Amino acid sequence: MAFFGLPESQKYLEGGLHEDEDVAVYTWGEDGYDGLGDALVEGNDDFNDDTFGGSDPIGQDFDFQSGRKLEALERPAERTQTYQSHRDHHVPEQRLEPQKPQEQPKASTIESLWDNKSPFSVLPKFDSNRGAERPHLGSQGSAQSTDHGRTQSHPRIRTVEEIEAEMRAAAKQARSGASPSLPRAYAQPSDGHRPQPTSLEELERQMKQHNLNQLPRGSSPLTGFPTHVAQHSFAHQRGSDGRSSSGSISEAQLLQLQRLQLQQQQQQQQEALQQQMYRQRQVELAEMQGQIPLDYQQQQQALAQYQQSLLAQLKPDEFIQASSRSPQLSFDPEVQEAVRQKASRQIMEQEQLEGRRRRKAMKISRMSRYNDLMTQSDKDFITRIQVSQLVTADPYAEDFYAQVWSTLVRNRMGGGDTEGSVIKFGQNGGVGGGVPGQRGSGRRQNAIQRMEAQVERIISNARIREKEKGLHSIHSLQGALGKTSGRSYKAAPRQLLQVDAVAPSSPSLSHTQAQQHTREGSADFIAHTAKSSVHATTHQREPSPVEAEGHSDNKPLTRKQALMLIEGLYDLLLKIEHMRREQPAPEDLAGVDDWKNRRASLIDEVLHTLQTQVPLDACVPHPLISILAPAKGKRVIPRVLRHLDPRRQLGLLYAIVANFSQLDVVIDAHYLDTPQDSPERKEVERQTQLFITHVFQSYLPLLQDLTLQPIHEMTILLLERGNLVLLAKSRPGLHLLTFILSQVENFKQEIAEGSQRAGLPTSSELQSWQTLYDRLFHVLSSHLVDFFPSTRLAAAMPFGIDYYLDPNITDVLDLPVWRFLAAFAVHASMEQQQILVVRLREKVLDNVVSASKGTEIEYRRRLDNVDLFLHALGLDSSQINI
Amino acid sequence: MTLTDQTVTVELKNDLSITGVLKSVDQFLNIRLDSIKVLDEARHPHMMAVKNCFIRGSVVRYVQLPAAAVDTQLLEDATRREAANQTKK
Repeated sequence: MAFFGLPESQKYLEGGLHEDEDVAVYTWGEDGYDGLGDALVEGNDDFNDDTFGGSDPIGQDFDFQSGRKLEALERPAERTQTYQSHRDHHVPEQRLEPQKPQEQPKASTIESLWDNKSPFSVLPKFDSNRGAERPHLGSQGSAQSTDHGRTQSHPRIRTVEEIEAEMRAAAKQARSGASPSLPRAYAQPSDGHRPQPTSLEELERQMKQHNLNQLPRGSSPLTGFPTHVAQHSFAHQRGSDGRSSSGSISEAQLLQLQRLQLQQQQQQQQEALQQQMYRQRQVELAEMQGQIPLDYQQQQQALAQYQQSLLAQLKPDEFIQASSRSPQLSFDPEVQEAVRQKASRQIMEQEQLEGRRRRKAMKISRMSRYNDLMTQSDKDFITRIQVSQLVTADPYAEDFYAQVWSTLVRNRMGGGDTEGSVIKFGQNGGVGGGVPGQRGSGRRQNAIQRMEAQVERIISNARIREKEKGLHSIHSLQGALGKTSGRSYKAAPRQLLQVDAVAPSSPSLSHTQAQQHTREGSADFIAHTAKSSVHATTHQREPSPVEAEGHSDNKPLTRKQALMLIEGLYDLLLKIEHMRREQPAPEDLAGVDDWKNRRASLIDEVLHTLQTQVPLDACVPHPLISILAPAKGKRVIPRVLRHLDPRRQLGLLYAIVANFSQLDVVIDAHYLDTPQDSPERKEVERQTQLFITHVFQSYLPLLQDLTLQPIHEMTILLLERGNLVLLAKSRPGLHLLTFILSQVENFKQEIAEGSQRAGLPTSSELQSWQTLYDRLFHVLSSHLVDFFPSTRLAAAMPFGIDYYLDPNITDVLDLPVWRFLAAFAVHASMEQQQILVVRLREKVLDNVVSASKGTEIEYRRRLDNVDLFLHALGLDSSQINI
Repeated sequence: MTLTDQTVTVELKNDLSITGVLKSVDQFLNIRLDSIKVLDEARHPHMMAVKNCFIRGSVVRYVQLPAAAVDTQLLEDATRREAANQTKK
C-alpha cells in the first residue's frame, strides 16, 4: 500500500480512519498507547539471562543452518548420492560453476575434517571428478539412484521443465545402455548444487539395500569396509599419473584395503565410504563381467587427462603433504603394482575379447541388413521362370548329353532302366540358379517335392501352349530374365580355334609334316608297286561322278579337309543313330521301307565321306588314311562299322590294309624308337594306342570270321602295296601280321584235327598261301632283328640300351615281336627255320644270358619271351647252354 | 550325374583362370565357385584372399571340366547335335 502514495498510508498509520469504526484499531507501541500492558503483572524473569544467554555475545555454536556446517557432516553421503544420481543429472555445468566458490571457503569444526590437513584432504578436491572416476554404474545402481533422487528433499525446487528434462535424460540413458556420455560425467560434480540432507537412517537403509543387491553377486560381506580414503584416493592420484585408473583396483587390492580400514575411526565416514566402495566394486564387477561400455577406452583416456589437470590444480605442498602422510597407511608398493598390473592385464584381455565379439556382431548385423530381402515366394517365382526356360518338349534333342549320359551311367550301374527313360528336372535336387544348399533334408525335401510338382505343371502348361500357339510359344518366355547373348563379345573378336592347314605347330598336328617327311622313302616304293598289276585285282573301280567333283585332282587331303570330312561323318552317324529311335513299327510296311531306304542312303553317304571310292593310288596318302590320321578319325571307325554289313566292313578293311604303310601310326612309328620322352613320341604313342583299341579291336570280330581267301588277299595287298619292313617295325603292323599268320595257323590246325567246319581252306588254297608265305619270308627274314624295339633303341643309343632304359620296359616292348616270330616260325619250312635260328641266334642268346643276371621276374619274362619263339621251332631255352 | 561339387577351372576372358569347386550354374551359365584358387597367384595377388566367387556367364571363355567326370566323345556328339540344331533353325 505504501507504494500507492505516502499520504494515504500515513493516514492509516495515524489511525485516520476512525469515522467508520468497524475495524478494531490496536495502538500498542504507538503514541496513543493506553498503557494497559503495563498493568500486567509478570514475574520470574530473573533467570531469563541465564536461560537465554543474557547480553553476552552470541556464539555460532547453535547456528546449524546458516553456516551449512551440516553439509560437511553429510558430505560423504551426499557424495554417494551424487555418484548415484550423476546419470540423471541434467543441470548444465555453467549453472554449477558459480555455486562452487561459495561452498569452497566454508571451513568449520566438522568441515575441518575435510580440510587439507586431514588424511582425507584429497577427497573433497576429487569430488568434482568422482563421476569421471566412475565412468558408469550398473543398471541396478542407476535405478536406485533415481529412487533416492526422488525421495530426498531438495532445497532448490526444480521446475517442471527440469524434471521433464531429467526424465528424458533418464529414458535416453536407459535406451543407450551402460554408456554415459562423457560431458555428463563431467557435469555431474558439485556438492552444493543439490544438497541432499540425507539422514543417517536413510544412509543405513541405502546401505542395507546395497548389501542385499551386492551379496547375491558373490562379493564378500562388507562390514565396516573402508575408511582408508586417503590410500584410496591416493591410489587414484597415482593412477592419474597415467599408469592405471581407478577401474584397475582388483578385488585383492580391495581386501588389502579392507584390512587397513581398521585404523580408521569415524563411524559416519566409514559408512559413507563403505557405500562408496560398494559402488566402486559394482563398477569393477561390471567391468570384469564384460559390461564395459562402448566408449570405455575413450573415457579412460579422458579420465586420465582430467585427473592430471586436477593434479595440476592441486597445490604442490598439499599434494606432498598428502603423499608424505600416507606411507604408514599404504601397503607395499610392489605388491600394489603387481596387483594392479595383473588387474590391468585382465581388463585388457577382457577388452580384446569384447572387441572381437563386437566386431563379429557388427559384421553379422551388417550382413543381416539383407536378410529376408526376398521372400521365399519371390525366390520360387524366379526359379520357376528359370525352370520354365529350361523346360523342353523334347528332352532328348535338347539335352542330349544329360540324357545319354544318364542312360550310360544307369547301364553301367546295372540298373538297366527301360530305354528312353528321361531324366527330369530336379531329380537330384540340384537346380542351379545360384541357390546354395539346394539338397537339404526334412522340410527342404518337402519344398523340393512341391517345386517338382509345380514344375510338372509348368511343363504340361508349356506343352499345351506350344500346341495351341504353334512355333511362337517357344519364344514366349525367351529373354524373360534378360538376354543370354549380347554383342559385347563381338567388339573384340578373338579367334579361339586355330586349325593350321599347312604347318601344324602342336604335336598333335604333326602328322602331315611327319608324313611328308618320311614319305620320301615309302613314296618311291609305292610308286613302284603301283605300277605292278596286283592292286588292280581287288579294286577295279571307275571314279564315280561324285568323287570326280570331290577329289578329281588326286591331291591328298589337307588336314583341314580331313577334319571337315570327319565332322561330316559324325553328323551322318548322329543322324543314323537318331534314326534308330525313330524306327517305325514293324506293321507299318511302307514306313519301314522308307526308313530303310533313308538309312541305306545315309550309310552310302558315310562310305562316300570315308573316301572309299577314291582309287587306291589316287594320291599319297590316300584320303581314307588322311581321315584316319586325327584321333577322332580313328575313333569314328567303330561307330561306322556298327552300321555296315560284313561285306562293306571288309571293303573298308581292304581299303585300310591296302594303304597300311601310309598310316600315320606306321610312318611315325620310328618316334617310338627314340629314348627321349619327346612330345612327338608321346603323341605317336597315343595315336598308336588309339589305332589299336579303336580300329584294330573293332575289326577283330570280323577278322576272326574271315576265311583264308580274304586273308590271302590282304596279305597280297600288304606285300605288294606296302613297305612290309616298315610296317613290321610298327606295332599296329606287327599286330596285323601276327594276326594273319596265327589265323592261318589256326586253319591249319583245324584241318589237322580233322574239323569239317565250313569255310576252312582247301588244300590248294593252303598251297597258294605257302607260296605267299615264302615271298613274305623272303622280304622279312633279313630284317628280323630290326623288328625288336630293343634293338632299334639300342641302335639309337651309343652306350647300349641298358644305359638308358629299364630292361623291364624293353621286355614288354619286345613281347609282340616274339609273338610275331612265333607265328612266323610255325609256317616256316625246315630251311626257313634254319635261317630264322641263324638270324635270331644272337638275340636269343643275348636274352638268355641277360636273363640270368636279372631278378627272378625279369628272368622268367625274358625266358618266356624267348621260349615263345623257340617253342614254335620245337625248341626250348633250357636246351641252350651258355 | 551333374558336375556340381566337382573341381573345375574357369578361364575368363580377361585371362584369369580360377580353379574351384563348382556349386551351381544357371541358364546364363553364371557360375558359383567355392574354395577358389587363381592359376597365376603371383600375377593376381588381390585374388589370394578371395575364397568363393560368382562368375557372370558372359565373361567366361572356357570351363575346364574334370576328364573323369565327362564322357568326352558323348559331349562332342552333344555339341555336334547342338550345332546341327542351330543351323537348322
